[in-house]
Amino acid sequence: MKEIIKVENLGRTYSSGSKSLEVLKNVNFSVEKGTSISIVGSSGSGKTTLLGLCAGLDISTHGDVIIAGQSLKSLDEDQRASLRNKYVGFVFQNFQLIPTLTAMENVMVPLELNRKPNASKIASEYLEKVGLGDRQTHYPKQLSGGEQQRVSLARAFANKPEILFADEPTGNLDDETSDKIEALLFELNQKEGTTLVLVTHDLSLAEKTDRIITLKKGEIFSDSQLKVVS
Amino acid sequence: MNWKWIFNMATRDGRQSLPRLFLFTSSIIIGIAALVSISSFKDSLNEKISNEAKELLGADFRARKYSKYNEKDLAPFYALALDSAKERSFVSMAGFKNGTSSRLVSVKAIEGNFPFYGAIVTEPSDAANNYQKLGGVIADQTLFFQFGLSIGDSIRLGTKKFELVGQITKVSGQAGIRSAFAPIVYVPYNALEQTDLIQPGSRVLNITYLKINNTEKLLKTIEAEEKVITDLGFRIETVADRKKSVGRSFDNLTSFMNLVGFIALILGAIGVGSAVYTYVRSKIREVGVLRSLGASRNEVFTVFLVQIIFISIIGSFIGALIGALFQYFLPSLLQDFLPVSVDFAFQPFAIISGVFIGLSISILFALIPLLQVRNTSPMVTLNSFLDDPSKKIENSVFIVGILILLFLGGFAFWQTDSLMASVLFIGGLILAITLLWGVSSLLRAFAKNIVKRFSSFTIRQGIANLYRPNNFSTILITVTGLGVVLINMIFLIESNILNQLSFTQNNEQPNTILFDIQPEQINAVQVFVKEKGYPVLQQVPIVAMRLHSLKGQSGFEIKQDSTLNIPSHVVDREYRVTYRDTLINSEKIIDGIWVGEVSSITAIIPVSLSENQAKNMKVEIGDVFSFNVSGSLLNCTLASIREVDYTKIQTNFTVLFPNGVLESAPQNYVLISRVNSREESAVFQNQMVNQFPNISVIDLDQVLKTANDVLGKISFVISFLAMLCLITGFLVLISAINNTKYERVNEGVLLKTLGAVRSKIVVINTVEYFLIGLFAVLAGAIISVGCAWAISVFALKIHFTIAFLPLLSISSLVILMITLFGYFNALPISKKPSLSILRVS
Repeated sequence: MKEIIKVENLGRTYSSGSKSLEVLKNVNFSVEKGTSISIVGSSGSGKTTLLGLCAGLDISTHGDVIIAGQSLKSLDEDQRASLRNKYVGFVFQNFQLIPTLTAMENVMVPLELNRKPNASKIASEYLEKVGLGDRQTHYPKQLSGGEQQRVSLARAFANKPEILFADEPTGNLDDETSDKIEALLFELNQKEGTTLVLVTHDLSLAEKTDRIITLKKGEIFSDSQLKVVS
Repeated sequence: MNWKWIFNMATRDGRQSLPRLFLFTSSIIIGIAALVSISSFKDSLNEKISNEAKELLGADFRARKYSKYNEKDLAPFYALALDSAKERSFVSMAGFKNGTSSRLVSVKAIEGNFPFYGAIVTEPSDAANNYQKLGGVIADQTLFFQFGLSIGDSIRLGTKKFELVGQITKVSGQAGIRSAFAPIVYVPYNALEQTDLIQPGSRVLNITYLKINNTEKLLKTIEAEEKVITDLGFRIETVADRKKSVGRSFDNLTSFMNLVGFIALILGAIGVGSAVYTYVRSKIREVGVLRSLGASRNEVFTVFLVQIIFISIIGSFIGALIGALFQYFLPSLLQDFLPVSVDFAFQPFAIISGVFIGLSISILFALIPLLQVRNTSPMVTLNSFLDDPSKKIENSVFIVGILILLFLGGFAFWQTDSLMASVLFIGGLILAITLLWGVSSLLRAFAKNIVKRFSSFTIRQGIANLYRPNNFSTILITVTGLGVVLINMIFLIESNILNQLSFTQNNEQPNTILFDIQPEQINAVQVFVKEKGYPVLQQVPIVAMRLHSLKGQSGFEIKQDSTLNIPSHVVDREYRVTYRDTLINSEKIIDGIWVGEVSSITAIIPVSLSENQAKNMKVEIGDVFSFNVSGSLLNCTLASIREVDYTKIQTNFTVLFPNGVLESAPQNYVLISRVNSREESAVFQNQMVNQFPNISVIDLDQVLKTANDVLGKISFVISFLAMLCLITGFLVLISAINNTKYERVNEGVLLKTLGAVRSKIVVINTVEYFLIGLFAVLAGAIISVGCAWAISVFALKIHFTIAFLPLLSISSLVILMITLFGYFNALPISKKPSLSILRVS
């Protein structure tokens, strides 16, 4: 299968005054298109930093990430933003909906940024898919946590990304709602054929992906293939 | 850039965000309203001055001179004239109510149909046309009010009684304030001799007015005759000259007003800048999300810039609209100072320039915090601790800073037309804001140090609110502090000027000046004054003269040679000169040698000039010049330069001759005395007028009272403008309160949840705002006292004292208002049920 993400000798060090903290050290792995992987580890192990670097939200101190054949290191800030818009979708732990936009408008943001025609029609369809067809004009504060995360899923999938990055997508939800969101996430992922990169400390959620990378103190501790990918 | 998305995003996001931001933008409304109203007023005034230019002069040509002249001197101008009129004008005492009341008035004796343009408006309406025929007089209505006069009453000028045939309500081209010191009385020209008021040496202005339709010929004649008429000592004026001089003086006034209005706008813009800073902080996560979803740095920045521009346009238009309407009231504020009546008019240029200035300054000040959007990392969506944009300051921030300075400097230059004044204005403003910022930071640091000394939880909490993160205390203290600085300064300077003038309250100081005393009267006047029980504190002879030549150049040549840089009044004015052999206590020689007596007038006469006069004449010790005294030329050399303290109530002179030269020249005397009370002064003046009708009396008590009124009117206008700064400060305050409302609600609820009773939350807020008010007032008072001291001592050269009463009144009012804001802001928070707010949060 074709590699969609390639991580090479990736490292990230944060500096504060004279002190520096190496959060990631020489991380190497690759992800094949259409597969799902989980990045797990304890707090402070570097999961979120790795996700940010893989998604082009942050820049590495050394090493590189190659997404769909494009080296992120060779791109400037705005080129990385353009690449994200074209290839990447996000689901965040805190939903990260824009509070001043309705559910429909939130879903339309990446579509309009990508200059896709019929943005409102597509957004409406995806909100129907996540079961919020009747809540399109509601603002985030008028929705429950589970509903906000559904909007977030609709926003992530509507732009038909190659890769979906999900950061603790159920971390702020109760068990029952978490189960529903998990089900929806994997259902959409399967239907859309998206590559899923999931950051979580929830092992039961991680076990639903094809592969688990465990981080410890900024390094890959283990890399387990759970399912055979054909 | 994806403009369609940018506008969609700006509009959608703006629906919820803009009402909050709009309150902040409201802080520029006052400044723009001030600029638009003042500029509209200025444009309307200039239009009116243009339209009524002829009425300002009343004629097409005016020639005046302090000594009597032969009309043949003006023959080339008379040859062009369709009509002519003559005026003799001077100040004198007038007696009313059969000698029981008297007052200094400005007597104008007119022959002919002056004014040719405009009118002297009287009651009854035909009085201005008839008084010459009837042999009566018309007088300013203030005299009617002051002495309860009626038409038909008599008024005594010198030795002659006249019948009052009309009261003057308005004279075209003259400001109402002119009648405050010496109200006008018009008398028939031919009757003037009968008053015996004009004596040798009397200071009488002789004027010829001509009506000339052919302006081109008039200008050519002036050009051809300029040397002759300058050498003869005439000052001439045409409609264009008058229009220019009136326009220039009001340009100065409106430019000053515009600069004060501009300060209000800058304060508002600082408010906008701080609002945008808070706005941007509240949008950091949103920026991160948009960046994660693929929006570029410039696209996200432009979304918010579009919003700021939109809201600034609304703010600017509202300001312009209020300003255009407010212009309706400005003429009534300034009516006493205006020579023409200004009507309400829609001035498109003033409105467009007001909107442009408001919009530009608002956007420029907003850009500095807004540029931080570009530094926001999309990682803020993943890491909650990354809620601050990068601290890195972009080069573009410095460029915006320079643009702001250029814009402010450009505006100041536009208003003042002087690079130095613009630099001083901008430098002074930056210094004042920096000082306020510094003082408020020090006060906050002080609060931080003393907070632990308070045992009360509410007081500690209230003090801590001043320096906690996201507080607005520095910006509030700075903005309201600057308003306090301006208002305090105006009151302090006004009270110091009045203190200086209230010398008459001091028993040691003179308060009565008698002038126009003829040499043959001086002994009798001395005896009269002493008989009444008053001292003769000073008595000096006065000789009138004009400058004839300076370092070998004639008056005309000096005026023509602009490279000399000698003001034209040095040549044009009539000098009132005295002679004596000793210096008095208000004088000190600072250069050269004082010569008190000469033996012969044929030699070059060593004279002394005041420091300013020497500077104006551009002369040094040993330079030569000549004066014309009633046709005789006196060759002089500069022997000494004196520093003169004009604040002392003495007869101070710019030109001082030694004894032995002017004794036989035409002269009169000034005598200075002190009368014990206002009542005694009134009686004394009446007795003087009855005994010596040609002698005029200046009652310094009356001058003080009038100066008080005039200063009151001026300071009202300036205070009104300074109030705009304070109102802007309050608008920023209201907006700041609104902008931090949600944080305050959360804190309040948290405190209530932890057991704080409602009253504690109210007290915490009230203490915080009381301290903000106190600090703003303290910072403002410190700086205003410093500025007022510097202006009083160095610019006005008057003694400075702190007037505590106005300072305390203004301070208390500002503190009270800000504290009330805090109190009323806390009430709804304290009343909200905890659960409902926590749910919303």
